[in-house]
Amino acid sequence: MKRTILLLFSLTLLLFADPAKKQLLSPQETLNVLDGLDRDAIVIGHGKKVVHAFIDPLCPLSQMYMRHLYEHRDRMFEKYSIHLYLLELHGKHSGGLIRNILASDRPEEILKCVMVNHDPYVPEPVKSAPVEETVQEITRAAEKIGVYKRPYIIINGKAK
Amino acid sequence: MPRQPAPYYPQFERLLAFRTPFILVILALLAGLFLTIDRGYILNDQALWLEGSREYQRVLHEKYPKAHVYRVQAVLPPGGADREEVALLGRFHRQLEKRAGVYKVESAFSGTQAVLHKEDGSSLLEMRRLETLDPEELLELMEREPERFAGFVSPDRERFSFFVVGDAAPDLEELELPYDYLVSGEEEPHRVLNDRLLFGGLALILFLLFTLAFSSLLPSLAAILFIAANTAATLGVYGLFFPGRPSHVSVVLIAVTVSLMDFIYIYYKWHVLQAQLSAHKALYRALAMTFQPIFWTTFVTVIGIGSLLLTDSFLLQSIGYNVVISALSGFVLSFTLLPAALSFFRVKRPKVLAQLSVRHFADLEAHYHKKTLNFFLGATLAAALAVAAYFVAHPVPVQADRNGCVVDLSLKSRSVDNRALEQIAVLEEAVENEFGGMVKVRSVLETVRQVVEAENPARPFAPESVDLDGVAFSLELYGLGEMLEEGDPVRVTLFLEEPERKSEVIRWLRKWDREKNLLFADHHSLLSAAKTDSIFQMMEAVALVLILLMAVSYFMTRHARFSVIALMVNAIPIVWLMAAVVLFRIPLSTEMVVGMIIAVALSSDATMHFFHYFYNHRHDRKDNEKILENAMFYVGTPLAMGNVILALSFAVLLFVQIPAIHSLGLYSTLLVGLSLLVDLLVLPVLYLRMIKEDPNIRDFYHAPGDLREKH
Repeated sequence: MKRTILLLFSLTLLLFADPAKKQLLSPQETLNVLDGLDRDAIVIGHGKKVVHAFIDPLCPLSQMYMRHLYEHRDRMFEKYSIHLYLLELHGKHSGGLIRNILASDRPEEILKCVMVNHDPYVPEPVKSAPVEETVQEITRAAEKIGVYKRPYIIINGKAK
Repeated sequence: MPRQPAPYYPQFERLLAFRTPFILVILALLAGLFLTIDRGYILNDQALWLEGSREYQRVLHEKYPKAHVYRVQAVLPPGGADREEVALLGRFHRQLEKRAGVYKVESAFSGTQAVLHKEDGSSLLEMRRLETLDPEELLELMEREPERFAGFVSPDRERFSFFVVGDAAPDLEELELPYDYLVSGEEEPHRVLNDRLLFGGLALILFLLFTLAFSSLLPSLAAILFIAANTAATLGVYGLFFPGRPSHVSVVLIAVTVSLMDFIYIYYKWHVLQAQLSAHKALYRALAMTFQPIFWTTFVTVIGIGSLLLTDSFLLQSIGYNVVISALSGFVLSFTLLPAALSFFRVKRPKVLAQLSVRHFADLEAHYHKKTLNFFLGATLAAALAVAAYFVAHPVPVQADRNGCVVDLSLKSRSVDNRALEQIAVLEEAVENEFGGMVKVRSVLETVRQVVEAENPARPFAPESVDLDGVAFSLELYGLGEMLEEGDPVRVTLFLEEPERKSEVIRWLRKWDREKNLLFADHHSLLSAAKTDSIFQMMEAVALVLILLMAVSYFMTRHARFSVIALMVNAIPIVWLMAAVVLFRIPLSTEMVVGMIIAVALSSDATMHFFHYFYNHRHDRKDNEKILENAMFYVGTPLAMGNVILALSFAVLLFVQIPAIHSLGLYSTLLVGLSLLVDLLVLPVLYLRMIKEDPNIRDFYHAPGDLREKH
């Protein structure tokens, strides 16, 4: 009986335990992984320092992050090149939107409209192999690095 | 016994033979020098103190800006700040920050607050300026973390302090602050003393007192001529060497003081000797009797106080130069212009105010109470030991400036890197260990720590391994990026709960910072450091004067006991003053030490003259009472007159409504009075006790059988 209770308790703990909340790769390994993602990133700013961020367009905190980036755009875009990777957050149902943005000619503008200006945007179903490949690449890279939250900001290979 | 030739008599005769052209030449020279004096006498000495100060030179060398820190304290109505008032004060803070010439404003609204937002699968650190918080939120924060706001907000929230760091005092007239407010740290207006008024007033007092003391107008006129001549010579020669450098009023006062006594001793002797001798002979005797003591006094003054020339401080050098020039010119004028001028006059019925009291005074001292003297000397020794022990165990209290609650520091490093953060962290820890909660350190480290600890709550904060690029990004994101910007000095501000301990904090910082990584960035702290240095340098000069006095006393008399008496007599006023400093916790100030220099200069005069008199009359077979009566008549009376006149003249400064000048008047009057009492009451008695009544000193004061015959 005691063993059963103990087993149940352990299972409950496992059920509610957070997934590993840490960066799985070293900073250099992380940068190597991100190097391969260059063409999948939406880049804003033209500064010398490169900052990578995994965001979900429908995540309120990712939106807050974007809002502050644009609020201080003069200094931020002068100082930093921000590489944004769109990655759906569980429960936000943003897959369609992400694919739409990635498929568009002006992803930065749409991203800004959605995340900063909160313009209503109705995603249209996109069936594009390259877009799907991009989404898969970003997802694989995020899994390798251990991206567990949005926004997941990486500077010098180190997650914040 | 062959009659010895009169010393200096040929020179004296030669001087008088050409007295008229001689006086004219000297007066023409002095008039020329007087015309070169085109500067006023500075009362606001802040700029003078900073010139040559070591800490200020470091700031200049590093090309760092020197800032002024002003505290604006808003006084709210009883009941403390509510939501609306916090909003108003926040607006006032922002207005202050925008003023031209303001580098930064530290207040309850200047800090940052890290807020970690968390949602399902999302988290983001937000850094907020306290000034942007909702007033209600800020009030809650004040309630929750009162220690963060200590120094800025009083516990009852009725007083809010804003520390404005800038290059000038903020003009609050145009700002919206609907409460009463106090501003501290404002620079005194750069006033130039109305020299005609002050020196005219002093001259009038001297004139009246001399007239009263000698019942004649002649000494008053002669004194004014002598003082004017010596002041013109001192300031004129100083001006020739250092054109454009202003003199501080205390420098002029010291310079006048050290030479005035020369005049009094010569004039007094010439005056009283005319009761028995012709004016001509009296003049010669007066000069012959005073030449040696005045020479040795000048020597002690020039070497002792002249040692201030070796310091870095501009003001102390200026005191040194002025005193050296004044002592030398006073010596020269005493034996040239003064006798040449006096030779035109004679006093028919010489009278002296204090003449009648001398005998009574001498009688009292000749029959002094041994137990009382022993008790007094024992108490003085105990006080000296207690003071020494106290200063070994405790830091010497030095007067804090008017803006004592802030010390603004800059790191030598101009960028916020890990080394700079580590330095600040080490400083914080050391300050905490030394002063506990009395000193609160605020710097960029506080914000960096907030960011790092909010992002990594489980990891202990280690400044040396902080990812500064990451922190900088977090700050930039919220418009706080300038906090870590390169180029500007990295500032660390210390807020003191006990402003009177500021000089202690500054001294500790200077001692602690062996690698010289810290620079004092605010005007008042620089001033405080400069003044503290100067106080100790001036005290060293006072100590040197005492040592020289002992050496000269020994050289004059060839007996160590005279040296001991010289030390005791000159040190007693200082010991009791320092005992009062310790007992009543009076902080040392530069004015106090200037007073000490004046007192030691006067007291050393008295010692030299008394010793010279005693030495010259060492073979007199007179009883104690007669010896004392004569000493009191020829030395004690002019000494008392000079000291009383000077003390009263310094007392005039008590009516000047400028704190530094007021304090100068207070301490000078007090110390001159104390030193007069010791010179008149203790010195002659010690002489009697240690030398005159000691039968072991053969062939010095006692002809064989001297004492046996008497007793």
